[in-house]
Amino acid sequence: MDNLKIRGSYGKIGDESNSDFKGFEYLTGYKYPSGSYVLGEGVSNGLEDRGLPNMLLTWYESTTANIGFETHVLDGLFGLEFDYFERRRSGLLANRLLTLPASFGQALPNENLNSDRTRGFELILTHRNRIGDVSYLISANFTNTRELNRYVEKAAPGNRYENWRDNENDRYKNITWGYEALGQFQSFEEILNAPIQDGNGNKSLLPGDIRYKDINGDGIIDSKDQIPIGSNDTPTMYYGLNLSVEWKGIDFTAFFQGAGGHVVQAGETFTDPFIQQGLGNGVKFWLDRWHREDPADVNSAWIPGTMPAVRPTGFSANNETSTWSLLKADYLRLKTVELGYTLPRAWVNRVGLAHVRLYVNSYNPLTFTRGGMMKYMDPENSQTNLHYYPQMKSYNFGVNVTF
Amino acid sequence: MKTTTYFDKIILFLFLLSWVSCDYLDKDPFDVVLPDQVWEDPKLINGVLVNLYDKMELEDFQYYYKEDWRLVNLTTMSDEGQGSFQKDPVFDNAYATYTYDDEIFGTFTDPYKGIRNCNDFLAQLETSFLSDAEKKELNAEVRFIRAWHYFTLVKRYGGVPLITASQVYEGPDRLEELQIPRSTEDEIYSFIIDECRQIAESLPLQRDASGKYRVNKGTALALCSRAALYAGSIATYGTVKLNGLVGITPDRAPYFYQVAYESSEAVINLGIYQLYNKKPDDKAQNYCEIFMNGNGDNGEYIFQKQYSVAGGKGHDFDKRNAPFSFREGGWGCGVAPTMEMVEEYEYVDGSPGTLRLTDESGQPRRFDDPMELFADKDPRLFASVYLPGSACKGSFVEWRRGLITSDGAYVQATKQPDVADVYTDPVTGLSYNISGKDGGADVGDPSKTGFYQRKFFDETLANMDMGKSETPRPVFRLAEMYLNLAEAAVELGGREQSALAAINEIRQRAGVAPLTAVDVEKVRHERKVELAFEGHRFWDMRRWRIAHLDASQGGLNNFRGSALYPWLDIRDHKYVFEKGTEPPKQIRLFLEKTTIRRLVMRI
Repeated sequence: MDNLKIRGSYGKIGDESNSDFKGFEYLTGYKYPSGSYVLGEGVSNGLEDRGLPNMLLTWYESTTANIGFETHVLDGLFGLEFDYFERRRSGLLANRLLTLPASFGQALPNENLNSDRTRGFELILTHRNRIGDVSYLISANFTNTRELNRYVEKAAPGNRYENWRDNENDRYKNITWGYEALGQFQSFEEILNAPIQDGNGNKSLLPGDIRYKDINGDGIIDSKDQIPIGSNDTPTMYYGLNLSVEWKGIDFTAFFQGAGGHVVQAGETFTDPFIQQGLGNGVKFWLDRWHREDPADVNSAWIPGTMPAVRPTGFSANNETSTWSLLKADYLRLKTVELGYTLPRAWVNRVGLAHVRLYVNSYNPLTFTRGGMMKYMDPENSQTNLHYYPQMKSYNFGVNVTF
Repeated sequence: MKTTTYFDKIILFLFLLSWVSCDYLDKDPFDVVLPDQVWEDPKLINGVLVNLYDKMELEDFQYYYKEDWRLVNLTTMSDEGQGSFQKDPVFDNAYATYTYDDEIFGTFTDPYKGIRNCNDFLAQLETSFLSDAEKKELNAEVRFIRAWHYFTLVKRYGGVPLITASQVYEGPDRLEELQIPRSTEDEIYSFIIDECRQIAESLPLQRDASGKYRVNKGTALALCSRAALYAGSIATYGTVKLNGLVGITPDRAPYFYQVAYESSEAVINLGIYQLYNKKPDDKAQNYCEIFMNGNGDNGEYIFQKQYSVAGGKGHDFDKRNAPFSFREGGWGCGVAPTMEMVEEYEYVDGSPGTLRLTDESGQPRRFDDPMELFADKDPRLFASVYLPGSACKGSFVEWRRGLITSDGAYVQATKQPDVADVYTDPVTGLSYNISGKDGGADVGDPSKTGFYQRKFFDETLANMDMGKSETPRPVFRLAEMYLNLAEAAVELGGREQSALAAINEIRQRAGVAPLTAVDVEKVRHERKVELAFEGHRFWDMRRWRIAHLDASQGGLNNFRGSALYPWLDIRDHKYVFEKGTEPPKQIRLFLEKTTIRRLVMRI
């Protein structure tokens, strides 16, 4: 072992940077301008009561701690860094809601009630070596974080189901609720015998539509059949890999990066065949859809496909948050790969230059995702509706000349 | 050595600094006005009043259920019309039936916020520095606003907790004190009526220009009239449930109708309002002018909501309701009146308004101009509805179901009018657009019934964008007072003469033959026609307890609404009409008003 360093820290700070803090919440009075009305000639601005103040409002208390170690072995051959961190916050703003009757006429002010906890670890491994003329370095990193709600102010639940569904105390923050998709309906017989999905006796469904599971067995698919189906759109894991090799003037680097543990809801651009509910063009993968052999003949056979049957304005039942439309967005992307050659000094100096390097590189050449509809989306974005300009793959070559 | 010198200087500096106070770091917020400042300054008190006005739910042009693009407002939810712009999932051909929940047009927390603000105002007003006369007047004005909030609540929920002084929050362990139980529906209506009668004495008859759209004596009496009428109908036609929380006992009906009668009479006798009749020779234009932009001071409006585009308070009515070809860039086609509504308007001679599509032998009548079908109809029809062929903005509204070709075949329009859909006659070689420029097909945005709403549409508006409409919205107008008087008189019995006189005032202004006898149905019919598209029909059908009946019995359950289909025969260029009974629209299911609310409502 060359060295071993153990490090740690602990701190407690007050934090009021969050935009939840509106300022002057301890003051009563009137907001101006608020509301307007034409009483006679022209518009007059109004003053609105600010509501109940909170004289005891203060900042969040944030306690952060971390502990880790760093070590190198075998003369720098292997390196390992590990860090574990945790942050606990208390005094997050919340409203003591649902305890005052609506006839009271005002909401309670924000108080410092909630608390949460973020916890994670980070790991970095490095390996460098020199074998003959080849020297290389591999470095991998990985980090995982998760946030938990410790205390969330809520009114007393009405029943145990409500408690399970809505009580966020002691729960991770990134839970998405939705339906469990059982696949696609294969035939009209299956549709008519399935639990009611569309509030209309299933009359609006066609073969190819997504079939949801009736969790509570009451014959109707509604919000009571929603279960936790995934995390949210913030990744819990980030990972990367750095690779560089050098041999006799030739250098090669590659950089991988990825994130995981998050999901993306395939929005209406994916789940509706034409954008803006029939006013615009559609995406090509919809060609692989359930359709009749002869569209003009209502009795011809159905041909199955990956996507449901097309309705020009889209079909909102297929848009519901479910395991079909909530896509796992884990990805790994080769961000940069570069191959270069530095011309030998002797040659270069002869023409009066200090350093010349030729290179060819590429940005974002490869992306690995979980497949399915994710193939058509850039995973490094948080928009779900194709309303963004994706990252570009580019291939470059160039020369670096130093005089 | 050097460090000690600097050290001394630093200590001295810090010592001096501690003497300087840090008051300059205390800043006052820019947008908060403290209570003491407000109640000493009449202008600021006026500002609080402005906010109270703004928070009244006047059910104006921007009043929609849920998001505004769903086009579910008081007109489209009644039998007056339907929404035609297709964005609500309701129009998914798949969703043929749509059940609206009991909460339609429900609003519970906002009126209570308004009530609390009013109660606070009334309490603070007592301690302010205004003169007694000013205090009395402001007190009356704010009590009207509070009564309006309770009217908003009782219309929707029946009896609600009655709170006339702001409650004080003492902490989470003293919550039971804040939980006021619901009063009965009777008590709330009585409260509204008593408040209105008391404050009417303190309110001015008229105000000067700087306050002409504020509450005045006529407004308070008008609310009294309307609220009492509603209470009377509920007592007569409703059933008492939940120990009086919903419904009023029938023995109270005469009292309420009497109050409605007297209040309506009082408003009429104030003498400052008249039924608008500036153009007695052109009754249609006369009726149309009442609702025009810029004509809010027409002498008939008792209380209205004014708008000002320059001040940032415009509305979107024109953008959302323009007929298809007049839209200027999308939207439009909001409300499409049904054929049933159009047929409600009688003929000028007083005969029932059923459109005569066929002659005695059963053959369809043929017209050169589609407007000829509507000849001699109630002038109010032409002012309230755009018919196929109506003049509009220098052009015409053209709605056509399709063409009848040279071989007698019916070619129906299938596309939105901005998509080319042309029929070429093989014989003559002439081309015709199959649908009219304002609609005809069952798809897209245009009206599917053949009609558009004209009342409140501003033909003079050059820039028809969101927030650019300024047409005022009447909340109370004199015509309603005559109708309230007639209804109260007929329901009370023994006053047919006054009811007949009131109805005939309305009919004479409208240009329709007067009645010789009056009964409940005739009064209701006149109300439907005179107050069309003003947001009354929905509440009227509910208080008469007919909204939940099936459409065949005159209710709204399963109501579909019919369309009128003009066909252009290209052989002789004449129009033939057909009634369309299956236009695409939502079919509504209404549940009987079973408002069951928990005693303690959560915010």
